Amino acid sequence: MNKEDSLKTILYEQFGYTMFRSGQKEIIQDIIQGNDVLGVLPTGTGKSLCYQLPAKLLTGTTIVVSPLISLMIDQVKQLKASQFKSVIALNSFIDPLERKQVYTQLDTYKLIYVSPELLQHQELITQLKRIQVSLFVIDEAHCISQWGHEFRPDYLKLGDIIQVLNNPTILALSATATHDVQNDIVTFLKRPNMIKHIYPMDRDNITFSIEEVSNDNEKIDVLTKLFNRYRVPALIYFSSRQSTETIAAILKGKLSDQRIAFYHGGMEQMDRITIQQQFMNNQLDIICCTSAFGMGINKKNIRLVVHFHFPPQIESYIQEVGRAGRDGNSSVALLLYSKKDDFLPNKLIKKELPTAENLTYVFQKLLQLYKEGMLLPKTVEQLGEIFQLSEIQWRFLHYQCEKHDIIKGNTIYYDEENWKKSFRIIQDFIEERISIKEKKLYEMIEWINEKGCLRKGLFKSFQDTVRQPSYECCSNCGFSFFNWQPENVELNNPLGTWEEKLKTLLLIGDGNEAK
Amino acid sequence: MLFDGILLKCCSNIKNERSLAAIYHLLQGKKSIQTVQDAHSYALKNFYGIYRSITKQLIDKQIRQLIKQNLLTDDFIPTTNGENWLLHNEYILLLDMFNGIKYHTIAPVFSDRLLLLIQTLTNSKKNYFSFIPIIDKTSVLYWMKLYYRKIKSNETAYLNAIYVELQQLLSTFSNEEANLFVDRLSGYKMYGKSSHQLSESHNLNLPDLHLVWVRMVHRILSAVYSDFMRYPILHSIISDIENKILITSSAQRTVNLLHEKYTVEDIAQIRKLKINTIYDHIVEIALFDSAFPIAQYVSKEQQGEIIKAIERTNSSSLKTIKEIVNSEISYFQIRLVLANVNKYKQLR
Repeated sequence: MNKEDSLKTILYEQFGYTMFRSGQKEIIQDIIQGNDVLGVLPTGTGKSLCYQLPAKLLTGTTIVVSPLISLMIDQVKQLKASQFKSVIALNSFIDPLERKQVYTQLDTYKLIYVSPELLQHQELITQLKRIQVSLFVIDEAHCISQWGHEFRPDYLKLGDIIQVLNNPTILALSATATHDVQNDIVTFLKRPNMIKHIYPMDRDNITFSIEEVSNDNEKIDVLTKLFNRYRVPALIYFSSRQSTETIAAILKGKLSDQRIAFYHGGMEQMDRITIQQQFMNNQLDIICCTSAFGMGINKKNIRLVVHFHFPPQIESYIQEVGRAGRDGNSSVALLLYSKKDDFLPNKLIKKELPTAENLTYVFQKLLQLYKEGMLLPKTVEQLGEIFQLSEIQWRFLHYQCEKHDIIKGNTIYYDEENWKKSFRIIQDFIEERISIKEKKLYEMIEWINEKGCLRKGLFKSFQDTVRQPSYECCSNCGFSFFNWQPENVELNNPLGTWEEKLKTLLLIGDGNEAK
Repeated sequence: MLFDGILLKCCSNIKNERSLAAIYHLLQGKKSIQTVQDAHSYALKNFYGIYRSITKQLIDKQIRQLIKQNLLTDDFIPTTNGENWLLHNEYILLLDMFNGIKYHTIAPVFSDRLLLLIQTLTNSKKNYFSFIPIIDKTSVLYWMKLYYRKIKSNETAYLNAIYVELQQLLSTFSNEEANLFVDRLSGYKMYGKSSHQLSESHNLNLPDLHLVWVRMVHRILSAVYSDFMRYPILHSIISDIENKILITSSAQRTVNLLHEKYTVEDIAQIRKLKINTIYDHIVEIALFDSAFPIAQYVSKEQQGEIIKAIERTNSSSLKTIKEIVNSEISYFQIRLVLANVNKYKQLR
C-alpha cells in the first residue's frame, strides 16, 4: 500500500470520511514528513483534521493551542463521541485536583488541547517536557500578529515554549490571515522554511446581500417577511448576548411556526450543546446567536446567515458567513444595516483594551502593593477586581508589565525611571491597537457601503481574484430574494399524545435494527 | 406558582422563628444538623434539598414579590390572604408529593442516569455511537459504562421494558406533567428540550419547572421503591446505591462508637471533637431513628416538662422553651425531645 492509500484508509477508518477536502492531504503529508506548515484554509474546510489525523499517526503527543475554551471542550466531546478517546482539553476550568492527576499521565494522550494561559504555568511545562511532543499546533495563528484582528499577547510566548519542548514540528492554522499577518506568523515562529498552504477564501455558492434600514424594528420586519416565506436552517448574528435573547423572543411571537432558539457564551455548557445538537438534527430552524456559535459546528445545510449587527472586522464576517452552504447548494449571507450600527463595534473595541485612566490606576495600585510589600494575587478574578479590569484587559496589561520588567511571576519590581518610560510606551501601544481596530472597523463599514460588486470587495485584501459565483452574485449585481428558491426543510417534530411521543423516542416497534 | 406555594408553606410553618436563610438552607439541602433539625421541627422534611441550585437572591426576590402581593407580612408570616391562598392551593400544588428528606441525594442521580440510559440505548440500538452524552458528569458516565456492558445487544428488550414502566408511571400524572417529562428525554437523533425551552413551551418559570421535575422524580422513586417487582428496570438503575438516611458521615462514625458503649465524653476525646458536636450527632441520630433511646440523656420527668413547655408556648423555638423550663435542662435535651415529639406529630 502506498502512502497516499494508507492515509485514506486512516481517514475512513478513524474519521469516517471517504475523501480529503482541498488542502488537507497536502498539509498532512508535509507534517508527517516533519515539515513546518502554515495553513490558511477557509472556515468549514476541515482545518482540525489537519492535526487530528497526524496525531493518530505520529508517535508521541500532539499539542494544540487554542484560545477558545468552549470550542476546545466541544471538540474534545465530539472527538470522544467519534471514538477518538485519548484526547483531553486542559484549561483553567478543570478542577485543580483532577488537573494534577491528568498531569501525571500526560503521555497517555495522543492529542492535548491547551489554552494559551495554561501554557504559561511552569508546572505544566515541566510535565510536558517529560513527554515526547511530536507536533505543536497553533490554532487561530493570526492571534500572534499585532496586525491581526484578535491579537493575543499570550501567543507571543509560544516561541519560547516551542524551544523548551525540544522544537517539535509546527503547524500554524488560520482561516483569516492577510499577507501581512502570514509574514508575521512565519517571522515570529522563527521558522523561515515553513511551507505555506494558502487557499482562496471566497465561496462560490454564497450570495451576498446587504439591506439598509433605519432601525431595529425595520430589521425585525425584514426578518419576519423573509421567514414567512422560507423554512430553512438559518443563523442570525448579534453583537450582544442580551440582544440574542430579546430578538429571539420577539421573532418567536411573530413567527409562530418557526422553531427558534438563542445561543451565546453565557449559557450553561449542557444547554449550549443541546441547542447545537437540536440544530444539527433539524429540530430547530433559526438560531439567534453571538459569534460564539458556529465554531466547530459542522452543519452542512445552513441556507441563510443573517447579520442583525455587523462584526467589527471583515475577517469575522467572512468566517461567520462561511458557515452557510457547506453542501455546495445556493445560500445567502444577508447583512441588515442601519447607520446607527456604526457606533456599536466602537464600544466593543473599548471594552477589550484598557483606557488611559485604567492604565494610570493600575500603575498607582501596583506602586501601592509594592510599598506594602505585597505579592500579586494568583487568580484572574482577584486581579481583575483589584485593578478594576475585565479579564481581557488585565491579560493585555499583564503581558505588557512582564515585558517591561515591572512584574515577574507574582512579584512587583519598582524602578521609577523604568516605570515612567514603560507607562508611556504602553500608552502609545494601546493607542496603536485602538487605531488598528478602528481601521478594521472602518474597512468593514466601507465594504457595507460598497457600490460595486460586494463579492470582489469582500475578498480583495486576501486574494487578487474571486471565482465565478455558481448562483447569484450579490445585491449590487442584481440579486433579490424574489428569485431565491431554496429547498424548504420538513418538520420532524414528533406530534401526538405523550404516549405516542414516548413510543417514538424509545423506538418501540422500530424493526430497523442495525444489528 | 409552585415555588410561591413552597415558600408560603415554609413561612407559614416557621412563623418567623427562623430567618430566611433557614429556608434557603432547607431547600438547598445544607448538610448541617441545624438545617435537618429545622426540617423536622417545622414539619418541612419533604422540602429538604429539593432545590440544590437555588440562590439566596432568588429566594429574597420571590419573598419580596409575595409581600408585594399581600400574601406575606414584612415579618415573613402569611397574611390572612396568604393562608387562604395556601389552603386553596396546597392540594393542587401536590406539596405532599415531595419527599426531600428521603430522596434528596438519590433523585438527581436517578434522573441523570435515566436520561443518559435512554439516550445511550436508543443510539446503540441504531448502531450510532457518535452521539454527545446529554449528561457530562464523570460519575454518571462511568456508571453508564458499567451498566451498558451488562445489557448491550439487549437494547430492544430493555427499551420495551422501559416503555412499559414509564407508561404505567406517567399515567398516574397529569397530561401536562407526562408531556413535560417526555419532552425532556433525548433519544436517537433527537435532543430533549433544554430547561429554557421547556419553561417556554409549558408556560412555567424556571424555578417552577425545576420543582415540578423534582416532584415527579420523587413520586416515581416512591413508586419504584415500594413496588420494585413492577418496575425492575427503573429500580435496577439505582439498586447499587444505598439510600443513605443519615445526613453526615461524621454522625455515622459517632453512631458506631455509641454502639460500642462509649460515652459522649469518650467519643469527643477519641474523635478530637467538641462535646457539642457529638451532641449534634446524637440529635441527628434521634431525628432519623425513632427507636433511639433518648431517655439516657433526658429523664422521663424532664421529657414531660419539656413537652409541656412546647405545648404551652406552641413553639419550636429553643430559646422560648428554654426560658420557661427548669434551668438545669440544657439546649441539647430540648433538641432531643423536639426531635422525638415531631416524629410523633408526623406519625399522627
